[in-house]
Amino acid sequence: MTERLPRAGEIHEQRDSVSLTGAGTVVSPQAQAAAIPGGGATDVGAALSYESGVEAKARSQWAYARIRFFRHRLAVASMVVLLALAVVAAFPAFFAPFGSNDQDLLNIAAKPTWEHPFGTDLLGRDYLSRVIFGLQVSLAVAMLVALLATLIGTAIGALAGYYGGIIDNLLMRFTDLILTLPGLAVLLTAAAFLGAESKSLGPITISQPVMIGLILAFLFWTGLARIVRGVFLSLREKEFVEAARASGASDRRIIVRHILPNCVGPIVVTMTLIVATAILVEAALSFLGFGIQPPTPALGSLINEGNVGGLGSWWLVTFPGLVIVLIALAVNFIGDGLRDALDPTQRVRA
Amino acid sequence: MLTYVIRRLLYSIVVLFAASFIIFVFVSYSNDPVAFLKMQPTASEQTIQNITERKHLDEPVVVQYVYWVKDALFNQFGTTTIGDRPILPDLQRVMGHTLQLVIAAELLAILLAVFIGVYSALRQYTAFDYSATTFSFLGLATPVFWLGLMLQVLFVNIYLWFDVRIFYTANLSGIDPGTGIHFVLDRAQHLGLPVIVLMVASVATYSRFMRASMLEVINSDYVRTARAKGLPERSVTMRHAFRNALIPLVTIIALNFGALLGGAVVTETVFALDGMGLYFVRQLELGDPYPVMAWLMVTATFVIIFNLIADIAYGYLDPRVRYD
Amino acid sequence: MPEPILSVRDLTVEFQTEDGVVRAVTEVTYDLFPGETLGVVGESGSGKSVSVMTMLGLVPMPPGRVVSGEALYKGKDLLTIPKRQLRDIRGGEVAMIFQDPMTSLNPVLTIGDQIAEAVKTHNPGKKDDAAKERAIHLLDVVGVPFPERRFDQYPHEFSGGMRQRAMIAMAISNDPSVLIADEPTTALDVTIQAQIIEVMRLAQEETHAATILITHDLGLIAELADRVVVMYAGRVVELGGVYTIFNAPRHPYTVGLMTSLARIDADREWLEPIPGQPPSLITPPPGCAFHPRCSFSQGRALCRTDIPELRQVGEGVHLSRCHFAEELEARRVTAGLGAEVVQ
Repeated sequence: MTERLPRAGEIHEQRDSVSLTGAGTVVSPQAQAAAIPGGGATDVGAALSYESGVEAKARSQWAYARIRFFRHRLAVASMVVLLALAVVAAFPAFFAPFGSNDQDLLNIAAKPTWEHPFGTDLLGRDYLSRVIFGLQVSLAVAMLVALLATLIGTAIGALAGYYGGIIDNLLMRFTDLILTLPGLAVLLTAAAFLGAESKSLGPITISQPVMIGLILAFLFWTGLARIVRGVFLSLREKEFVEAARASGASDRRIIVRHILPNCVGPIVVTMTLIVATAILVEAALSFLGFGIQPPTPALGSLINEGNVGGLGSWWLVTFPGLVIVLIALAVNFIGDGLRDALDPTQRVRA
Repeated sequence: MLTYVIRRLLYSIVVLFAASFIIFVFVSYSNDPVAFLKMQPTASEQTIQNITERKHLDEPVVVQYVYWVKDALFNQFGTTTIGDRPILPDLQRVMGHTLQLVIAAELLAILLAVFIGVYSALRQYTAFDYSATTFSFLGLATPVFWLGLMLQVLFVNIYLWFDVRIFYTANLSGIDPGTGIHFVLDRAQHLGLPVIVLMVASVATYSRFMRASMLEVINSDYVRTARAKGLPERSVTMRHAFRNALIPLVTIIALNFGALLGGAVVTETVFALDGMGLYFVRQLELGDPYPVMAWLMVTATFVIIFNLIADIAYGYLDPRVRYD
Repeated sequence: MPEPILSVRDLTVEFQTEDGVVRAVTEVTYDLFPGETLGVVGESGSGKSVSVMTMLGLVPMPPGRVVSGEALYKGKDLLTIPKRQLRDIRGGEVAMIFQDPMTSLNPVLTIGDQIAEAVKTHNPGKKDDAAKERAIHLLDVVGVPFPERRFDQYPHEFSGGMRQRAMIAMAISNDPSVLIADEPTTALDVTIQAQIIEVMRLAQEETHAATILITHDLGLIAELADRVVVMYAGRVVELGGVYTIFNAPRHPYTVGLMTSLARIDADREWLEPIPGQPPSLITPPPGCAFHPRCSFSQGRALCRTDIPELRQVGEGVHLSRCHFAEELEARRVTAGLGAEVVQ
């Protein structure tokens, strides 16, 4: 076999074309083939030179994404806000001026003042503290939901997209089944009947908020599964997968190491969307009384308490809601920024 | 085309059955409908016994399911567990109210969103575009129920200060609303706030989508060809760009219908509207699987029908997708 | 010497982008004479499409901007006439064919509708039936079989070659005086390309239109063009008759193009591409834009400091933008495509 060593000009061209066209998720098949250790070009010299070219490319791809993300001031600001909220949620006792259940009987249902910036509720508890503790629970549940839904959705989508055929059919029918049912209603049903109390499975006790998280995750994974499946379906036929298979890579390796990294963009973007939706849905559930049950505070149930007390004390309804809006906005902006950063083919804003 | 529709319908029926079975089992296992009664000291043993017999509560779940299916198909969904109240008339009544709400909200939302989306796309990066985008972001981030509450707070305070009732939802089906303009005004007064609240999320979603779709189309090659033919800009925008941009939106709208009914649940609870949402929540609180199942089946059917409508409409609008 | 039907003088077009100002077209100058076929050759990014699209007003003007220049069509400057007039000319007297017929045709309208639309736009009085008849006739002219049936079909029901024929039909529907074809065969199979070339020849015979043929395919130029404009990095670097350009090019870039062609009759082991990459149009190299890749420059300072003028070299109309064009005369280039060389 006569293999021609790439001339110096060619390697240079490889690098040049990379930097000229920018990042993008399209990698030439040859480069991908060479990127698989032990696979691809039999010519060691060619493999080495290609690999080093690819490495330079890999670095620049994420660097480009980072640069593009930080150009969106709104997304960056949102990240700061979200980080701040997360810190507060992580250490509520440190930030809350009072305990979540401390009652100040002299100040029942008081309007916001310096001492109680968010006012007090019907039992005289400082509302700011209640909101902070509620923030912790709501945020934690939302993250849990996003994580679980992503794991489930990615797994199902990957399997369906990679193997195709019967597996794909079955999994997609299953997904359709979930999708046919009106979301919130099913959630309510599930939450009402399943999530009302903590359940114990042997030595492990699943707390009630976690139950809600599980139920939510179970309905949120479908969108992600579709997206991941789409990516897998389109990439499965590409040459680099064939090359990997030819060099003996197992299915699992191909899925995880080769195709999955290409999904990271859409997955991350969808994950942020799930966090935002989870916050809103959990709040709705808690508001209706089916979500996180008292005495655990959650933003939605706080609003419910406020509502029950009559609409005269507007602060009881307003502040938790504002916090929800803030979180949802921030997460949406971040998701938007991420989408612009990871998908360079989209139109860039002026 | 006809075979396609029939195939879809048959498939949907299978899905419906499968879903109903799963939900029924799940609902029955996790809940004892007479538990509520058993806790009442005034309920006699005899009553409980009657109910248990009537609803076959002592038999295996699968058998119960079969009875339920029989009831659902031939007996108008049967009756509630407690009180033996026929389900269908109630369901019909509340469905009427909810449909008024949902249809009004959707139609208005679509009109508004299409206009906003198209205009934003045509005048990209202008003040209008930026404010529309901001509004969309806010709309998507605001919890529906909270918005409803805030609006109520606002209007309650207006009532308290000015003694003027602008919007209220009591007596939705009590007083005869009259015909013609009186009907419209009456409905507007009763349903105004809930419609606005429902619209917000829809307008936000649809307008963003419309804008993105329109932008993509405007930069496409065939729009360039249309311009190269010397067509007036208006014709290019309407006949070539808009028609194509509308197609994916149709699908989104139809698919959104399922989510709408869910949103209606929350909105109706907040506004105490006598609609499907409130009905559902109440029955859920009571823990009675029969009306809950009936509700879910009806809603699921709606969703399936609307999905089908979405696909057919898509095929009508986009000749590349005709099903033969 | 007849009057040119289209005269481009010193056209310069810029684009405002995130990364800076892109000079897509710089001081482009050429003439188009009635009845001739003018080939415009260049790589992607050379500005060949942008120049004509600017003339027709098809470039969005933010972010684009015409810095200077004029494009005279029958005495009127297309760049400054009111938009209505330009619209009347567009698709009527000056028609354009685009590269990818799949994306260039509206997928939700029938082919017939789209052709009839072109007819009705420029003949407002025409009734629908008359327009339909004309469309069917045009489809027949371009060689679409069963045109009456095809009239009601959608673009996705046509094959690639037929779609391009439909586009050509659309372009000639109003008997244009100028036909602009932007990469008409690039998106098509090679076998179909030959057919489309035939159709284009037919179209030219039918309409006696002057044609601007934009392409990077030198084979196409050799077949169809009378005169050739070679563009590089937004500038015209050489202009002349087709035989001259192929057999006696006087610009290093053109020489490189001709040398890089694959030839059946030559006995070579390796193809010889032009080394390097096309330059950035935001920060072009100083002096001659081609000098980093030019083997004739030999590092001479002039190439690096001064932008060459487009000037006369040789007899007839033959312009070249190279400081040392005369040195190229001495070389004999053997890579032209014309089998019969008329010196």
